[in-house]
Amino acid sequence: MTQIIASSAVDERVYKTVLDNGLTVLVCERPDRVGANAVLAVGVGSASASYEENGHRVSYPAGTAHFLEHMMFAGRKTDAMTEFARLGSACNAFTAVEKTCYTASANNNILPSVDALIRFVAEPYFTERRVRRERSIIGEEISMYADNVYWQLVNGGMSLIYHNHPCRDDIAGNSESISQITAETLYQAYRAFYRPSSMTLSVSGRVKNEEILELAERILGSKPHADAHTSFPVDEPLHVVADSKQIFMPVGMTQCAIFYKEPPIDNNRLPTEMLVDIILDTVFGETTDFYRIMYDSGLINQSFSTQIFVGESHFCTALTGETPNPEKLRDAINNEIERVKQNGLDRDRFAEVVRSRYGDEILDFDSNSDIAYSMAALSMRGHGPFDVLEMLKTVAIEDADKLIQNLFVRDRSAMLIIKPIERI
Amino acid sequence: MTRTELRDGVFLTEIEDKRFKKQEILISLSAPLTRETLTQSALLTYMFARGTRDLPDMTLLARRLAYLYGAQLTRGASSYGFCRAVYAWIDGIVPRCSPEQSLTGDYVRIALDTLFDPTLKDGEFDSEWTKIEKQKLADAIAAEYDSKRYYCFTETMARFFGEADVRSLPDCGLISDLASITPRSLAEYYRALTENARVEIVSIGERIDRSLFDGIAPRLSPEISKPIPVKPRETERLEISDQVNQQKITMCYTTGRMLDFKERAAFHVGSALFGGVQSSRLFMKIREKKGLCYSCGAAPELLSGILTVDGGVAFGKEQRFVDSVERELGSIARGHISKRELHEAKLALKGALMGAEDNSQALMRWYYGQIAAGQELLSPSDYIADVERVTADEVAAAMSELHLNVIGSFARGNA
Repeated sequence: MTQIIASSAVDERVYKTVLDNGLTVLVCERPDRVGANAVLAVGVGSASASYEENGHRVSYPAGTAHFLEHMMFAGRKTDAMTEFARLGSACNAFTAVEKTCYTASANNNILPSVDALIRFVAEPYFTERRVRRERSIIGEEISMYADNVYWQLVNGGMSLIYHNHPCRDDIAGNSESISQITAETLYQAYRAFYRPSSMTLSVSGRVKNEEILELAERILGSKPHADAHTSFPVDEPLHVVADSKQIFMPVGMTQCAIFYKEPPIDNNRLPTEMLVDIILDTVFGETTDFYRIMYDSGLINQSFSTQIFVGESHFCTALTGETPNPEKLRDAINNEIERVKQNGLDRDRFAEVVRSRYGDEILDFDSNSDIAYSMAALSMRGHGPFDVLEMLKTVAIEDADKLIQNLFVRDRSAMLIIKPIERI
Repeated sequence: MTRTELRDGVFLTEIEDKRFKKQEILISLSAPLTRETLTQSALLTYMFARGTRDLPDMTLLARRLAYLYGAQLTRGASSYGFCRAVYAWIDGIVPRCSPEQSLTGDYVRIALDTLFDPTLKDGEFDSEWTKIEKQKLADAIAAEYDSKRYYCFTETMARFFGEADVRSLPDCGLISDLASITPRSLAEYYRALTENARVEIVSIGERIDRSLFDGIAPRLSPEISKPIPVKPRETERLEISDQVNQQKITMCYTTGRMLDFKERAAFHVGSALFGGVQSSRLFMKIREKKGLCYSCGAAPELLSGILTVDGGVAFGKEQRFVDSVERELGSIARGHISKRELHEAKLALKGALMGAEDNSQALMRWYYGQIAAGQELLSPSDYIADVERVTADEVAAAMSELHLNVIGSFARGNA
């Protein structure tokens, strides 16, 4: 049965259907648009390295979910690049900690493009030869990210605060782990994780709900229902691995990431995640006196930013940027946190940040690609497409003041510093 | 799309499209790109971040933007051929998505005040703020080194144009120029710019009240030189080295002459077929078939017939990559183009152009890019018709003129 979810704030309607086998289909019809974007999201990511089956632990090499993502476009008769080229549309994919997303962007041949996207994910075809070739491409991708400063800052920071959680590993794995992955490994992982109940198909643009449903039913409808595997519980203490670490890279100036490890959020993560995001901006964002003082003192520049990383069993925040004095910046941040914990959040700033987030959410419903991704991401976490907009209407500073008391604890923080190596 | 000269040297380009929830307004001051004013123009955009007369510090300005439902204000200076554009680009939700109806007026006022009414004291920029922003710009210039692929690209392009050509200068300015800039000299440059520069206003979304621009005085719009071609010369190599994990390569080609309308479309299709879309030779043969790289592509500069290729390859495979790129380009230039690949390149290009019609930001880049380059304005749909007429012979002819002037490489050093 199809449910219609509407929002007058963004003037959009979304059709939501859950097929008998558990596949969720979301469609935002936008007949005034030229094209459409589709996302087929699967609930498997780099953190899905281990799961429990019949009391046994089944483990995959690091980077398996990402390798699967690369291989899914291989195809039996033709590969996805050839197929999408024929259609005049584009496909892409990415792997995150807890999900893998396959995307299609089509302004020509919209329905055949969505059809192709679903088919490639529904009908895997892996050969050892293709696995070998893809290993070489992934090897280059790993090398590319090894030169990416921000990537190293975040990955390095994660490995400073997490002892065992797979979010500390590079999503693509490493040269050793990907050398262990074979076609058979990929088939096993596919069977374990690519189950309709852990998939969401989300489409936005010049499409009709019935057309997309027909495609989904035809290609994925015959796949039997099976519950998704749950990840093997990770034994992760709350304390961090190390207080700080310094590495050297060929960069223009010193940069750092200050991470705060937080207790995992057990249920209904979204409201907490949203509130923490607002808190971070209210305390450290450009609207604050703290930001201006740090900026004028030279401790931060425009690169300063805040991030949240939340998953099923991990939750941390990070402040990153270039600075000439990471230790002094870290002290200043900790002092500001203590000040806010004692005095409470600034009421006016909090309200402004909430308005700003409301605007961001409205704009998430402007482009087809944003809508398709946002609907899929929220659905995979059990939420409707307009839930964030609704939550923002009722967000309360009292809840934020209460929440902050348990966040940003100095003893649960760590700092990664990247210093410039002397240029050759 | 409508384009109006509001008064001498002040142009308004409006794309009214009620489908969008985002309003985009870009106001730019366009002047000739010169070596002397390059870094001043970059620094000026940093000074703009300090606030306006109405919102006289950066915090107040940031709070006002947050209050306007998180409107984004981007200030920047970019070079387009021999044109240097200093701009304020604001975007935010359209009024119909908020209880307030005056949002668009607020956006326009902030963008105008940013450019025409920044915080000045006694006719000069604040000395402390100037000192701070000079350091921030120095940080940003230093950070250009962080992305090795981008650094390799910009350094190779600088070599391609040559020292005497101002197009070789980096958008962010030069660190060596910063010391000599004073609050007074910057204010003098600013005044000269605002009095003389051509003003371009581009709005996408809902229609805006033109009276908001009444305060912009007419001006003698300065003559900006049209781009000139880069002559073919003996291929030279630029070697950069440091402790990197992957080699970055940029290859710069030139046709050596300006292209007319028809040739531009053929050159565009040829570039797409060669390395601009997923079905391209670079993607399908060099990445997918040979596994030589994870990422590589080609991008054309249509007016002056320039093509750049860039990618990241494993150490020791540089020559194989360069040879493969040359082989594919040579094959296209000799007319070895199948009907299918021509059709697919055109289809992909057409799809990308059609997609721009659905995205306000892409539309802004499309139109403003043409305006800044001094081109006749074409809508994406108009241009699609040109693309569809391109033949394989025209593609081969356009690509056969390309000559490889510079190969830049960022490799691992021995330190």
